[in-house]
Amino acid sequence: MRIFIIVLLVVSLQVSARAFSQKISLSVKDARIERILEVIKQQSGFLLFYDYDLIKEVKPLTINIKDASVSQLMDLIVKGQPFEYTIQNNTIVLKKKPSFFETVTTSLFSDEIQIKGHVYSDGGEPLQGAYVSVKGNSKKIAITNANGEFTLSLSKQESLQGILVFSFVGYNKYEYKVSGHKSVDVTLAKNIQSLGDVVVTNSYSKPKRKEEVTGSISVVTAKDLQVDRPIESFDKMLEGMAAGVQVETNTELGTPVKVNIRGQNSLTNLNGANITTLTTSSQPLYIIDGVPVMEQRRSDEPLAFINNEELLNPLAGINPSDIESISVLKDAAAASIYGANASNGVIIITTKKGKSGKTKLDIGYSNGWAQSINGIKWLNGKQYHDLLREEYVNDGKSPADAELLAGSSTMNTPWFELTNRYSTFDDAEIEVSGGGEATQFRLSGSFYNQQAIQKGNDYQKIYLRARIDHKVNNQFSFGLNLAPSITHKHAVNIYGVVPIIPNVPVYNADSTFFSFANLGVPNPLAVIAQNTDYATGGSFNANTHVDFTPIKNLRFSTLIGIDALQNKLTLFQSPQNATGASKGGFEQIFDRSNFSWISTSQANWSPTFRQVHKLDITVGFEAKSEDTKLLSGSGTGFTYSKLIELSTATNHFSASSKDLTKSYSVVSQVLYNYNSKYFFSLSSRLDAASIFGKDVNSTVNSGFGVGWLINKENLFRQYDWLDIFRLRFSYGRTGNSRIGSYAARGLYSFETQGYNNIVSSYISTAPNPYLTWETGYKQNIGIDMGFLKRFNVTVDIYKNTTVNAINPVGIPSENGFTSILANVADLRNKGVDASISAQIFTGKFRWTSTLNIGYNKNIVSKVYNKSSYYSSDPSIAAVLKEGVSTSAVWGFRYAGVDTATGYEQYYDQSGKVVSSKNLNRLPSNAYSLGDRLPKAQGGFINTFSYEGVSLTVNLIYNFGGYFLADYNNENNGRNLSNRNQSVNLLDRWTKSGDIASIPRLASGIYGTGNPIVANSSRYVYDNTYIKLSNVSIAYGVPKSMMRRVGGMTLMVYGNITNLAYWYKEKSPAGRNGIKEYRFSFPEAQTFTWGVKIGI
Amino acid sequence: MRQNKHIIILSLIAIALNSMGCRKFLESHSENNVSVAELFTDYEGARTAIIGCYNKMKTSAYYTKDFYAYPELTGGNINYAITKAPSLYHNYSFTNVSLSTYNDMYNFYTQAYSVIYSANNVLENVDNVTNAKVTQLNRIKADAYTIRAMAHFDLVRVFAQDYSNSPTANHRGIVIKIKNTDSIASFNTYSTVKQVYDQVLSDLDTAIALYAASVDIYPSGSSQTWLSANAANALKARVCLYKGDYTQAYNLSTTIIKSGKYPLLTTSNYDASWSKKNISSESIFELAFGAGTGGGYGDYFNFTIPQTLYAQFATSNDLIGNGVLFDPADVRGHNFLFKDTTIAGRTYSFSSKYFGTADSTNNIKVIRASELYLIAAESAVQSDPINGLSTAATYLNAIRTRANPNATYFTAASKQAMLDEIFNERRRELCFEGHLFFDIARMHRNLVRVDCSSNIKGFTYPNTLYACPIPTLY
Repeated sequence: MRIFIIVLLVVSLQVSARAFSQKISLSVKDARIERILEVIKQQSGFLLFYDYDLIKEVKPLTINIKDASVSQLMDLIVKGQPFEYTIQNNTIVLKKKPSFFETVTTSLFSDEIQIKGHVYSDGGEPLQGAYVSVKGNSKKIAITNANGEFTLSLSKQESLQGILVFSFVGYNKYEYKVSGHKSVDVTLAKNIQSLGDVVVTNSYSKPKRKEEVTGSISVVTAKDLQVDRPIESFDKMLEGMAAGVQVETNTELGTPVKVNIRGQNSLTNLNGANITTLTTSSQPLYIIDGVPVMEQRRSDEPLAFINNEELLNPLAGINPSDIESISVLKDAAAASIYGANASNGVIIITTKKGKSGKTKLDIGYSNGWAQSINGIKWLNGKQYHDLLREEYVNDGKSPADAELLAGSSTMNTPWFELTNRYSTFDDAEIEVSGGGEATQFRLSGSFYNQQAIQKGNDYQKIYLRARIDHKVNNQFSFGLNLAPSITHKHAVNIYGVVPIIPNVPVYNADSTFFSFANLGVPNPLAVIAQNTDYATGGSFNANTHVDFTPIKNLRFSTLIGIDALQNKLTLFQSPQNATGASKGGFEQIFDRSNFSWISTSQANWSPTFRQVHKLDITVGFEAKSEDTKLLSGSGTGFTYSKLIELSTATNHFSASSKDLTKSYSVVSQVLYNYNSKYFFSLSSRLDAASIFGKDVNSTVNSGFGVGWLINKENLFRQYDWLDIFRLRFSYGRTGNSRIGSYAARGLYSFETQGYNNIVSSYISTAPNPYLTWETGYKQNIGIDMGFLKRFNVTVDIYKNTTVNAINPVGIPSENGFTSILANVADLRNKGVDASISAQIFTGKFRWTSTLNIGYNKNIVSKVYNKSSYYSSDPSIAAVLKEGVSTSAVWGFRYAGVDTATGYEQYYDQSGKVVSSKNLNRLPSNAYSLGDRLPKAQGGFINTFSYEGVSLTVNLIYNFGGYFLADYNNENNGRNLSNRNQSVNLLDRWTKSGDIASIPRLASGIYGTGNPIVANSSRYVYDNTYIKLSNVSIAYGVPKSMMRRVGGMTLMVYGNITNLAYWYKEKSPAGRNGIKEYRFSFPEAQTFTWGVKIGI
Repeated sequence: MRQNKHIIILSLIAIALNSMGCRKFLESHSENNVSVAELFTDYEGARTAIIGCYNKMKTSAYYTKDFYAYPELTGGNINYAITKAPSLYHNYSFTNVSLSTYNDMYNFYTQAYSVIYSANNVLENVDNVTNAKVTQLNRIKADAYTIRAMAHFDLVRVFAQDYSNSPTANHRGIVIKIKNTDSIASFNTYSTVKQVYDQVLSDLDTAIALYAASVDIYPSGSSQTWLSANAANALKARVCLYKGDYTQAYNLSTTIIKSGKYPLLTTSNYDASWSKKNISSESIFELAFGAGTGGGYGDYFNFTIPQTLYAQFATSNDLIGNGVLFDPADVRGHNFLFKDTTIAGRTYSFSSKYFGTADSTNNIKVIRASELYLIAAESAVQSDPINGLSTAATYLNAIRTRANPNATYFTAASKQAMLDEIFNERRRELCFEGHLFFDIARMHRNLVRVDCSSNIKGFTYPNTLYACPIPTLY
């Protein structure tokens, strides 16, 4: 008979840090033994291991004992039972009593051989409390100590033929053939899912065990995040890692990406990116260790800053290596505790802390290089010349004039190659952590240096983080977390997205830079050489918390956090090139100082009544202040090129701004569970903010959730293979308050220069007394299933409704404004997210696989005044219309090129083919050309390992999204005289009868061409793709080999990002398609190698 | 357990007390934005709002480009020097569609109504100011009325047929807005041209009365860069001329001329008045452009900027070519106020009236004495075709001989000959100052453009194309 160790209940780290009473009092009548053991575990704080089979026959017990020790109580329990117990390292283990025969055989072979070894997690951490046993001999058991060490005595026979079984809570069991070895190091692989895992559910209460969570939360652990990838911020790393979380990646270094949690829950701003008419933010709320990350720019800043200042990604202030876990709160039960800011979901980042035990030092270094992939193919010099000449002839010029105007037919300047490079990447990290029982610390530092492919663009980051947690006594504990970071960024705009015509030279004969007289763009190489765009910033995130536990189950805690950012941006446009020539040089300096603080205080009471009614109540208060101070100066007219300071400028201008908003909130959360089987949660939050001026406006949002752990029902207890079977349901309300100050009341803003040097003001926002907050209602049904400790499935079905969605709507121009912010519509997102993970092989060769799926459908369900509002601006091309997705591309259906005339044709409303000239471009004639957001998207992550080698392969996929490409790339040659265009232009119509994909070339200026239809289905591509986004291979040098060098650990790894793409819609041979057009500046493919040393 | 309950209750009370102190905590605000009600609590705030109205007229959609260049482009004084995306091309080529995406005057339309909204907002709120003298508030109101009248008048000139297009001027005009609406659903009805002119004149009269009981409130800038009773009267003279009320036009224009406050420039200092930020002695109202004001009207005439995109408003040969309009000795002509340059193999001539780069943008001369002389001449001959001929000649020749002292004294035997010459003189004197196409329409002349890159080179009066279609959204 074998002993199965089933780990059913384990307390969290946080619980073990609590004040434990070693004396236990217990008074129960006819109680099930599991419940009694649970009480012992909670009161003592000990870990507990037992096999359910052992105790399933035990009859209910009646115990009445006061102030007993753990062993006294255990003695009482095991009396007369077929099992016994041992206590080792604060761990209680129940095991079967040896039979007489076993006792005898053990004593016969008494000359025993000692075997020693270590047990590590697959992350390389020593595992304390791992259970080592001999297969078939229930007496031979050892538990590892804090360094993961164990010692076990084996009989001779066992030493030769025996098998050691290693197990640990949350990890896969591992069997090892002793074969005479006297030392053994074992690495255990983490279970797919364990109920013992804890989940950070919000920043107000302690992490909860997974089974207690009723909301829909995706957790991304440090390991899942794969921080060894050369990606500069964690928001970009999240791509494909969590079900229902879509990351709209970009190709610019150090800029924020757009993250959609369960689709887009706010309307697409039909006024575009114009920040002066900002609508509600569609981005999630980010919380780092309890401190919300302040959006770098809020909507109330003066135009001087809005128009010119470039921003850093505030999320890049945290080093991805410092992240312990990321929780993505997706439904109302999880997110409504964040009330008025939770509409778009909440992302909670928890940083790593020190662990007691031996001090650990980890050093890592990685290095790599990158190249661009899938760049747009442009016309070469000859092709460009020929097409331009043809266009001029089509425009009615004589062939001789056309030849003259088309410029050189031999010159070919490869602008892309000249302005781009193979870029390099470096990252060095150091981390020290450790501590004792009372104090744990962790210090980390990192230097990150990345060049962009584009010349003149690079990014350096220094991160430091120090964290101390200290337990004063059983009542008090506190922690301090300090994280300064420094950023340097060069981001010279080299106009890489404006393709320069290829048949002009870079240099003049005298080797000065050639200037393009008619193009309206500067020579990019001159810009790289002469202009400056340099940002240097520091951020400081810090928080401190104090916990006070006056009596058991009651905790008061206070957290004070600050988030500060100082950024200085210097821009210089040289008078020597076209950017600054008209001003004699133009320097701008922006000094931004953002400072916010937050203070939260909460009381938490978590009593248990009659051992089965578990209550957890949190009530908290939060105050928050966000302060922005801006200063900018600029100067024109520089007469001495070596001294570029504002003091040497002929003309000076300056601007400054102050902005302060404050808010307070009251949060509450009630959790209740009955017998760890039925779970209920209710959370609500009151938010009041100064953003509406003197009329303090407050709102209350709340949500509830229920969970049912079906596998704990007696009916299911018999199914050993079923680890988890749980149903969840939640419903609630959240808000979106991020619309800027006084938006309802009508605002005057102040102009930077005034009139005749006197301050002037202008009305910047039209009053709308009827404006109210946007509100989201979220429903969620979820199922979690786990089988055989190796397979895990989570499926959530949701429906999110946003009512009173805010958008600028067009109003008759005579009213003084063209648009006004109003509550105009309801929209709905319905969908499914699912995550399937499996440990396909768990032996020596391991294969772990996770598939994330997010399916979402967005629809504008109701437009209040029934009218539709539409923007044909190619950067927006969206509509507000009932029954249409807010992210739909709204435009006209292309009907190909007229074979007789070579003109572009469209389908009108009746389906008739008309030329673009005759197309009535009213919104009522337009159609949805496809939704920009994908139908389904997610990631497929696979890890293989054998011995010390592991291979990780990430696939990211996107099904059914549509992409509107920039029409300028193949715009009938309309812009051909001043910019290069796609090679697709070679397939243009030339003569009657041609069946061509590109219309007749015409400059279009003097009415000979067709009007531009930018929002045409001609430029819409199916964005279905599968991307091999990352492959990394790592080799950990075996610990046995490393023992000679003092037990160091050593790992080397290699990594390739953006390895390959498969697009459903193929690009024609030698031409451009979705693959090339998707990013106007191409993506980088990065190759990295690195080494990690642990001491 | 009981003890626990007490602690919880106490902490809840503490939290509740904390919350009550919060109202004070929340009293903070942005310094960048001020609500309407807060701005009009004091005199200084109200003054920033009226100054903001001046600034709104300076935008590129209004006096800095679109509105100012529109009659010059459509009338034929300007042809483009570039082929890529010329400004206001749809209107230049009369591909007149009301849809905003095709109608380049859409921005002007919205901007002019935005000016009207701002002026109305001042008028509707300024009486809430408590710390100002009545004379100070009168000045703010007078400026607001004048600005509102200007915006309506500018709109009706662009978007409606001229006043005498129908016998009683009851043809379609524009929307009159003399009150702001806060409802997004409010729709507006078009008034007749007569109603619009009546409203404009009524606003100007109100302003003129208010100016009489007001004091100067602006601490800096030349008085010619602020509106005034004289400016309101001069604008009224212009409105009366357009309306055909020649007696009023004559009286108003000659009163200001005779006041001597705005003496004509001399021949020798004429050119210099068009450079840098000099305030012209004959200006009655100029829009001031301070140092470093970007995107000036002058950019469109400035070929020295490497981005020649800006140097797009070249002079058409209809104005400058062949010496038909300008005598070689004329100080306003090719040898004085124009600069030649070669772009892509062709020589273009650019006016240097507003020539300048971002940092030296010239003031926009909205109304000046020379125009009043020409108004006086035209209204004299119009109101009395026989006896008015010599009066008209007096005023016309004042301008004519100032520009060219050697010019012969012009006399005409008929009203039409005199009007033809006045039209030509207006074209010479006021070119690039926002008049030509309006003059053509007002005088019921045919549009004739020879050096023109549009397919539509001209048309005869009457024609729907004399009124720009009113833009509709999309």
